[in-house]
Amino acid sequence: MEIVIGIVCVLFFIWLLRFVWTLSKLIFKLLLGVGIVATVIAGVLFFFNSSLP
Amino acid sequence: MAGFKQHIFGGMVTGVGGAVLSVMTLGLTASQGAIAFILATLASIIPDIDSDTSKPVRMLFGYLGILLPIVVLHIFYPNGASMETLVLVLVLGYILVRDIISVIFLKFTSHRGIIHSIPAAVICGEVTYLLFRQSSLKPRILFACICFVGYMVHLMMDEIWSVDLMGASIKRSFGSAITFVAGNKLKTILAYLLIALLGMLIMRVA
Repeated sequence: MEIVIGIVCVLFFIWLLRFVWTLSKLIFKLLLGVGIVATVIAGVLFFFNSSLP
Repeated sequence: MAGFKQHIFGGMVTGVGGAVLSVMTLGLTASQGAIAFILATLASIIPDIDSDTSKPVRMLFGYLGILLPIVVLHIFYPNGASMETLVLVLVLGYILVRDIISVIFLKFTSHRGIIHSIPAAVICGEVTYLLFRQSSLKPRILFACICFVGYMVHLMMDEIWSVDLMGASIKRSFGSAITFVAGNKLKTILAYLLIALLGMLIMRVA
């Protein structure tokens, strides 16, 4: 029984590691995208609040 | 990879956000807000223009076939053209864009190539800025930025859909959307050159 639980735990741990690795890669990409978009929006708001014609 | 419906939905949400922001906060008119909504929706499906078989390709080249001749008429005939010129430019422009330019374009692009990249999003924004060069500065900047944001939303959705979180696996397409370079170096260099060229044109217009 302990062996089965051990194997399940190891498999779950491997899945968890892969999950965290996948998630971190996705988050990095999204941070890049969201960061660029947020910078553009912040730039627009900044310019619009200045005295443009 | 997100489907056509998801991309349209993402673009419409971006468009509504952009339109509300521009009308309520930035002081633009309702019609300018509506244009912002249309531009964001259109920009969110433009990246799939390089797909040989997709629905947006047929749709986009159809729209471009209608819009581009109107832009050409507006530029070359600012005081209005005769009926014959109008019909000729509209019909020939539609055929040229829909049946000739689209074929050449699809021949030289590959899906998830340079069109699915951040430089392409910048080009999209710059072209929009130049297209609206006769508007005042505020709407011009807003339209360019909303096109850029709509394009980026498409790229981000493609990255999200490339990941199977529960299966903890990544599809081969992951990383090919939010990127600064394409697989082909020549196309990447050309894209950056185009950005610089359009940037110079923008400086001249502004």
